[in-house]
Parts: sequence; C-alpha cells; structure tokens
Amino acid sequence: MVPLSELQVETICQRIADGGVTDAGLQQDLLDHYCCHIEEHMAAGISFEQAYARAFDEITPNGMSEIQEELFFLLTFKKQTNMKRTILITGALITLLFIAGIIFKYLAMPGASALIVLGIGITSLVFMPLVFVVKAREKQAVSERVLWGFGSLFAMALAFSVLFKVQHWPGANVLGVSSVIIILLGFLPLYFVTGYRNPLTRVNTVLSSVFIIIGCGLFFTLTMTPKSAHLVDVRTTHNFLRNEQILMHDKAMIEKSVSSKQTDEAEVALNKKIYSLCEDIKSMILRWDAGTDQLHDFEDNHSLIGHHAVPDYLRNNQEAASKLSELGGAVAQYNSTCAPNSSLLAIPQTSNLLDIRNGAPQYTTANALNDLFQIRLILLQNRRAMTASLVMK
Amino acid sequence: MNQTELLKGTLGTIILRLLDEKGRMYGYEITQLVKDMSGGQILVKEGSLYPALHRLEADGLVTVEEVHIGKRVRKYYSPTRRGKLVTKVSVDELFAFMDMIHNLLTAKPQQSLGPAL
Repeated sequence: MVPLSELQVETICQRIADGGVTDAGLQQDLLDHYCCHIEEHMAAGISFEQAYARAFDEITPNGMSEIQEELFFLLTFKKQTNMKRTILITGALITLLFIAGIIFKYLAMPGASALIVLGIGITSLVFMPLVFVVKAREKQAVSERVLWGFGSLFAMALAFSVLFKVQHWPGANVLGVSSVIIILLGFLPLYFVTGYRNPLTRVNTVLSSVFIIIGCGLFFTLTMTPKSAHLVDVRTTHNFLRNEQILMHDKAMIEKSVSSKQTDEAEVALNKKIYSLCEDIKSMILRWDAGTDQLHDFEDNHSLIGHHAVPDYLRNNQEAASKLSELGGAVAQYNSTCAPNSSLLAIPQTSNLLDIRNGAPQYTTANALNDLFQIRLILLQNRRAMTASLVMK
Repeated sequence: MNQTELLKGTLGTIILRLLDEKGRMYGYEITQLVKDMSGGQILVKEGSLYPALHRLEADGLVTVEEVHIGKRVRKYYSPTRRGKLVTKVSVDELFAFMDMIHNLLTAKPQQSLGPAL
C-alpha cells in the first residue's frame, strides 16, 4: 500500500479543520481514518482524487461537525449528571440549613444566624449558578436561556439583599431594588411574551405574571426606599445633635455653678474620665459611620449617621475595642465606689454598649450613640446631685 | 430500528473486548475488524466510534499511544488495567442482557398480569 504524500495529507487535514472539527484529538483520529480509507481505495486502483471524494461521501455524508457534537455530548454527559447530583445535594442542604436556622431563631438558640447566612450563601453562590448552567444547557431556544439567566440573577440578588439586610451591611436596599428591577424589566416581559404566544401556556403565564407583580409590590411595601432611608438618617442625625446640645448646655451650667472644692474629688475624677471616654468612643463611631465627627452642617456635607451595625467595628477596631474595655472598667469602678455611697445613679452596664456580645447585628450606630448619651447624662445628673447635696450641707 | 441505534449501548463493550483481545488498535483498524468479524454486516460509524473511544479515555478505561507516520499521527488505543476489569464485567452484563432480551422476544407469556378486559 502506497502511503499518501505530505501534500495529500495536508489537504485532508485542511478539509477536516474546515468541516468544523476543532478538538485536536478528534482531528488526529479523523485524519488517520481518512488517510487509511483513501490508501485502501488507492491500492485497489483508483486515483487520489476519486478516493478522496469517496472517503468524505462515505464516512461523513452529513458533515464532520456531527461527530464533534456527539463527542461533546458524551464527554459532558457525566459532568451534567454530577452537576445535577450536586444541585440535589446542595438543595437538600439549603433546606436543612433554613429549617434549622428558623427553628434556632425562634427558640433564640445560638448559631441561628450562622445557619441562615450559610443557607443564603450556598443558595446564591452554588445552587443558583448550577441551576442556571444545567437549565441553560438543557434549553435549546436562546429566549429560554436568557429567561433562566434573568431568573437566576434575580434569585441571587434577592438572596444577597436579604443577607445584607439581616447583617446590616451597606447596600442591602440597592441589591433588593436591583433584584426587583431585574425581574420586572428583564425577566417578566420576556417570560410574558414567550409564554403568551403559546396557547397551551397562556393562562399559566398570565397567572404567574400577576403573582410576580404582587410579590414585587409586597417587597416594595416591606423595603425602605432610598428616599425614606435618607429621611430616617436625617432624623437620627438631628436627634443626635439635639442630644449633644442638651449635654453641652447641662455641662456648662454645672461647671459654672460648682466650684471644684465643693465636690468629692474621687467622684469628679472618675466622672470626667468616663465622660471623656464616652466622647472618644462617640467620635470614633461617628468617623467610622458618617466619615466625620463634625456633624453641625451635615446637610451641606451630606454626612449622615446611618443605620450600620456597630458590633463588628467595636470588636475589630483595636483602638475602639480598647477604649470600650477601658470604659467598661471605669464604669464598674464608678458603680462600686461612688454610686452606693450616696444618692447617685448607677451607670447601666447591661442592655447597652457595654455588653454587646457576638451576634448582635441589630445593634446600630444610632443605638450606640444613644447609649453613650445616656451614660453621659447620668454622669451630669450625678454631678448635679452631688452639688445639691453639698449645698444643702 | 436501524443498526446504529441497536449498537449504541453496546459499542463501548465491543471496543473494550476487541482491545482486550488485540492489545492495541487504532480507529480505522477497529471498524475494519468489526466489519470482517460480522461478515460485513456491522459497520461501525465513525460518528459513534471516536466519541466512544474518547469517552473510554476520559473514564480512564483506555490509554492512547501516538505513533507518527509522516505528517499524521496514528493513535493506538489500549485498555488500562481498570479497563480490563471493566471489560470482563460489561461483557458478562451484555450477555445476561442479551439472554433476557432473547427470552422476552421468544418465550410465550404464561398468564396475563392485568385483569382481563
């Protein structure tokens, strides 16, 4: 049998590449296959041209790309099965996490939020992307693939927005609104048009579309719009500034009316220490939350007190954490030494800034500032009470 | 039903068994051998053969050895150790299945399972 010349092999190779076969391994297989076929026919006495034409007619009458498609299907079939199995396993895991999380939450048991956060994380980062990939491969029509794309994107954004909301992370509302926009402007029109055209799916499409609109309406009812969130922040900032004014006014009045000789020096020293620690922590929280601790012209500077969760900041920022523990120590000392001896008010050490524990994400900047205000107010009241008792004497 | 459809589920087993017997073979050789062994009755389509070979390779049941012949590469497929074990099992399975199909196609039903209409 005469082997084919290099040029002839080159011609066949080109034809295979032109036929749409891109997989290198398959190209090599087919090249050798065609060459063998052609050589056999040439050995029987026909020309290269005839053998070449016959080979392509006999081996791949419908074109070569079919073989590659079949190869792709066979090779990815197993992957698809594995993917579906992963979807089922993660789906079961998510269900368990959510059920356990909700039960834990209602029983106020520790670990509830960890379970729920894990559930939301797996839903949006593993489950939804996998569902999309599998569905997009199953569906032939481009419109159906896009539909599944929008649907998965919506579910991911919604899951993230809920996660951000419960963790009091910034951006929860933006994510929530984006998810609703995705479903209302992306998913719904496409879903409605494709489903309505088909008489068999028309009724279900209309019903589902109405349900989606009702769902989005309910979501908006529950969510604060950016404008109302801004209004709440403005009110909080105003409130904070008013409290600070009350304190400043009170402090100035007390300092004017009391001479230092008249008062218990130990109490005064501790009182001042706690007061200034409160001021320091207040400034740090403000700088972290609003970007500045000078909020007097906040409306011009657009720096507002937000509703961010402070526990993480107070735990993770070293300076803040050390100030807070110093404050805790000073307050304990104050309560044990000064408060019991007289008519002075004890400073609360529970249900406020001094006992924020892990897993209290609902505790926001506004709560912390309010607690600091309360402590300072008590200190000023005690100073006033001390003065009054001394005057009486 | 055409031959290609009937062969679909059994091609992997047939390839494994031939490779097990011969040691190593390339694609064209397999088609010719099947053709000869079946007296020209069974023609393995290239569109089924190569995807099946690549699948067996991806599953670790066969390995490939490349031999350069001028400008082209001939790929010889040979069974791996696991491939040999799987060959035995799937050949047995295929025989059992064929017996069952034979039985289904030849034996007369003894009694009807459903209620008589």
